[in-house]
Amino acid sequence: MSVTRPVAVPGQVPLGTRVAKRLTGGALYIIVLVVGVIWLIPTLGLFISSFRKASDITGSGWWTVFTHPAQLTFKDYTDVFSNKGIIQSLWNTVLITVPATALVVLLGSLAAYAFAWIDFRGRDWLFVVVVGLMVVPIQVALLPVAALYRNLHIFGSIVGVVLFHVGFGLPFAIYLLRNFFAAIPRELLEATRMEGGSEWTIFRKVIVPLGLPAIASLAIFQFLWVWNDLLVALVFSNAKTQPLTVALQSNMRQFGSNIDILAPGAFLSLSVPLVVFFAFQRYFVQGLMAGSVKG
Amino acid sequence: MADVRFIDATRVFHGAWRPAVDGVDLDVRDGELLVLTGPSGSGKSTLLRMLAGLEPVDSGSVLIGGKDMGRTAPDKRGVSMIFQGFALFPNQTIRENIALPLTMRRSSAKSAAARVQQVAELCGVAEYLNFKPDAVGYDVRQRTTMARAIVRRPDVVCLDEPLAGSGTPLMMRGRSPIAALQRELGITTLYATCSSVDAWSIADRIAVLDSGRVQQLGTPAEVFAAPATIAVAQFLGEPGMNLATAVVVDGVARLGGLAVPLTAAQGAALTGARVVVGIRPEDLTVGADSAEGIRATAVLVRDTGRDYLVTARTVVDGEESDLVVRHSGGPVPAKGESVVLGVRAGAALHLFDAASGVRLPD
Amino acid sequence: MDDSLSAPSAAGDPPAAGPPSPIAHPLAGPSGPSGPSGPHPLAGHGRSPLRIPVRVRAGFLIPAAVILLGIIIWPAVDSIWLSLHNHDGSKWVGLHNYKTLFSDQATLKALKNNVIWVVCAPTIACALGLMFALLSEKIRWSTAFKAVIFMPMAISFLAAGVIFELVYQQDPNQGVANAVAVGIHDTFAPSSKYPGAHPRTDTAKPAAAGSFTSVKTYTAGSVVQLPLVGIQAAKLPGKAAQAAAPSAAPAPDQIEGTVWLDIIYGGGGTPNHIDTGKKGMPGISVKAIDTATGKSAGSASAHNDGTFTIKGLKPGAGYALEIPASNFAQPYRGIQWLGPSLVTPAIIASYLWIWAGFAMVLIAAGLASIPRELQEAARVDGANERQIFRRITVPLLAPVLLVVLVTQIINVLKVFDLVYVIAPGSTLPDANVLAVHMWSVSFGGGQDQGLGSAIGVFLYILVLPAMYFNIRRLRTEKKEGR
Repeated sequence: MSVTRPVAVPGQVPLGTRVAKRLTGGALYIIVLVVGVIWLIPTLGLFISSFRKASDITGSGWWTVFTHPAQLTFKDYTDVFSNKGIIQSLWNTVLITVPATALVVLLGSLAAYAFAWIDFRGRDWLFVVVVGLMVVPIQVALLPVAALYRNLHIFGSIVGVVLFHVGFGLPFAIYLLRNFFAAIPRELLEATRMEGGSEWTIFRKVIVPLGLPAIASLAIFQFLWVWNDLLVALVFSNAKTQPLTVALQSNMRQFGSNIDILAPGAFLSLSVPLVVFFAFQRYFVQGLMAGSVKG
Repeated sequence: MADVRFIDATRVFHGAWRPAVDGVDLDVRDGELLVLTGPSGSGKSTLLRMLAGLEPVDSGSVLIGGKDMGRTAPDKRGVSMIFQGFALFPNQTIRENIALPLTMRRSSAKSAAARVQQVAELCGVAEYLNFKPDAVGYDVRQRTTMARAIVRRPDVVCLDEPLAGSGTPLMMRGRSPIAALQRELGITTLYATCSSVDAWSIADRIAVLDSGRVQQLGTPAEVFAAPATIAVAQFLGEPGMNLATAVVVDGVARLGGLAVPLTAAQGAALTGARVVVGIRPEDLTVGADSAEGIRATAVLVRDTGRDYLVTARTVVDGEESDLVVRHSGGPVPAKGESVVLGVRAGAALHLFDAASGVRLPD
Repeated sequence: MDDSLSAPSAAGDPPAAGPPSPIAHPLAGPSGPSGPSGPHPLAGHGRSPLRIPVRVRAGFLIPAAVILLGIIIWPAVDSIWLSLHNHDGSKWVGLHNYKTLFSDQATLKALKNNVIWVVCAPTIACALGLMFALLSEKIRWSTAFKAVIFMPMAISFLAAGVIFELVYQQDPNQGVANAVAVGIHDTFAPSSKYPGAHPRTDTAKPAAAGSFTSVKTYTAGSVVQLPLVGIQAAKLPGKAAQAAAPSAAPAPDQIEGTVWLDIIYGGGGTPNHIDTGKKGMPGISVKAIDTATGKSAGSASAHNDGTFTIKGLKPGAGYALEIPASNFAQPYRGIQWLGPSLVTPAIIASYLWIWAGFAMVLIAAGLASIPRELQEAARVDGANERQIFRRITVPLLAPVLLVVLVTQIINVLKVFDLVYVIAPGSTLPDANVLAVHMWSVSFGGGQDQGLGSAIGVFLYILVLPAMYFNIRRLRTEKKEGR
């Protein structure tokens, strides 16, 4: 899979046009509209609910705000922002996500460069192993890593959560970046070698700048993956180090009574990925295409 | 400035059963422009890369200025390289691209800037220094890569098919700056190209490679006039030389209805042997029905604008073979018409040993 | 997928092989091997001036390798070891945990749910993706449409869980799913106006399925009074008017009567008597049942003042009056989405909400990459659109569909967050899947390392075919020179 492939080829009339030929004009737009609305409504519901008092949420549907806009309030948000536990967990999310993303990008691109351009024995075979590791379920590693962390006294620490994310992020990172790096013209590397550039120089001066689109894709993917994670944090963090997802999850069991924390909290939790998604949609899609074999 | 010597230089790629460069002995004089030519896969690029230090020398040696370069790092050899596709960094400006060899060597910023300016002016890219390669034309990119190659004052410049993939018009324009600059700077230059037209228009000498070996080395005129092997004969010239197998009888090689006279020495040595007779398209004529000549049928007539290329099919000893004639003046045969091919007066005939492909002594 | 991305050629690779040399090799003599009889003796003999020191190569690889070994490879192996031991790893139990896996009711339920997930979710996601991809190519603002469908991909499962918990709320006043369900239901089957209302037992007694039958038998031509109680006067519809007594002398083939709410708003009045302030109950239907045959002989519905007239009866015959249950039925409360039977489909629906966009984007790209010339050529050859879709689009799209399907299967096997977050505690056992079960068994109170590891290893075995698929695909890509 390539990384640079555009989502649609401009100027090409797609085949689907033919298929959808029978659905002409109005009917087609109605279907599209209905589907679009179905896809938007759940998020819209959460968004609106996050601006309503708990009593309103349990008393009437969020759609009643369209007739009673007076229900809207920032109280839930001010409550959430003054909730020490939630703020701490939001901060933990950042503390986990940023290093986990940075480390995967750094270690992944180093290894990907080696796989793409450094000749060593067993290289192809090792790469097959890396591709194989992409689909290994997290579940198979939870218990042994938990035991390992207890021995290292990092169980419940942010370091542990970060390391686990880095481990399970690396195979995909290496796969994605290696394919992209390998497509960088060999002449550019050799032009640098001809001038005495070391491998490290080539990595910094050629691979990283030219591989930036793939690195961006990877960074976004890893960021979203770690930011949105629940399971890893559920196992490896404790009450002090838990990220937002875990903090919110613990409120889920009393959904009705905690909805005033859950709604704004969940919206807070999804707003950051959503901003990242809309800002870098192109890279996100590219990464998706390139890494669609990942599980 | 330095001369370059390959002594029995051999390169075998990992796992290959045949060397890519096979015992090449080659002397390149100081300041000379040597064109390496031959079909793709003949080892030209590998030879240049061995000189530059991008490929190891598996046996034999490579000398620059009399010094063995076997273990010398690429940047210490005084060799710069112009790559296929130019290898310009799309993320850097023309200025940064040209300065690369200097920045990699950590030259002082001031002297580097001055040198880049100087070289850019020499190559005619001074006004584009702040552009990125994608924003300028093919010609400027080509000049930029030349500027990068000479910015660090190399002894030897290698050009690896730098014009491949460009159309003929660009090629014709593109060739001149390379030759002009090389002459001006007097840098020893090795230029690998697939195009034989390129080869003889700018080269001091050309070396024709095939299967990793040097088939022939000489001035373009020498090589064209007396190709050393069938391979060279076929490769040089557009279209290539016509080749036909003939048997020598009574001092004459018979080619259909055409008797090719041999010298007395040849006749004596070759009687009864099978030889390959080579005739350039320019040396064949299309004539009216006459007694002397090769009877053939015109199967294809191409108008090149200047003249006509007539492909004539003939049967020699029961074997069909096509001969190409460059025809100018006189009536043009129509497709399917029967023609008789003759040899122009004073034309050079080339004889090769049918078994080894080596040129026979005149 | 992109031809511009060429194969990696490391420094030592031979240059790309061009077309075969047109030149015969007349000099291929005894000095060089003349056929592929094994590698040349000099191959790789020379020491490259570019040789990269081992410590440099190691520097690029070792950090990643150490983490991969420590976090994935060694734990995966250790899991196998743990799965052969008891709950705290102190005793070798052989395959006992795997036997439990296939005999324990809770685990079997999880396994069954996983099967439902694997069968349904990937195929439906693919189908939706294909549909959306085709739709989006037809419309003008497809970018916006795609962004809307694709957006949930960026949202965490937890946030999606909260979102769908809201969607699936039981109360139709809170959950949008049930609000829609009730809306649709009431359009086709309007709910009754008087839920909970009933006659006093001295006028009518409860009969089958919530209906009431009069105590007395009435002959045609008589007058009936049916006072009801059980609801608040305020709940009466606005059009309800002061109850009126039926006309004194009905026709011989009719029964006339009044149905009224036997309560005065604010209190007062006499039971079973039409006082001022008591209102009729418009719309209540009353049936006359022939006492001889037990069959319905006619029915009528009450006017605003509560009066009704049942016509077409046999003069003189005796009838019991029935007030059917439909008058008093409780309103439709929607679907119990997160109840035991629907919880898994409901969670799968939320999964599709997230992943349909993924399938759509990949399939849309696949559609766009189908060369236009192919379908044009087919059209020139007289193929119709249906044939083109079946013979060209589908086969060329098949590899993409396969990739989407495999990716989804891997995803679905490992699904955890959605189930764990959405399923309420009470129905979690009904929604259980292996990944969730593994968590509950090993961390969420069970503390059984052996069984937990066995489930993990089992999940791992389930994704092995996908791993094989990926590796084979990698190999094919390499062969194609990419």
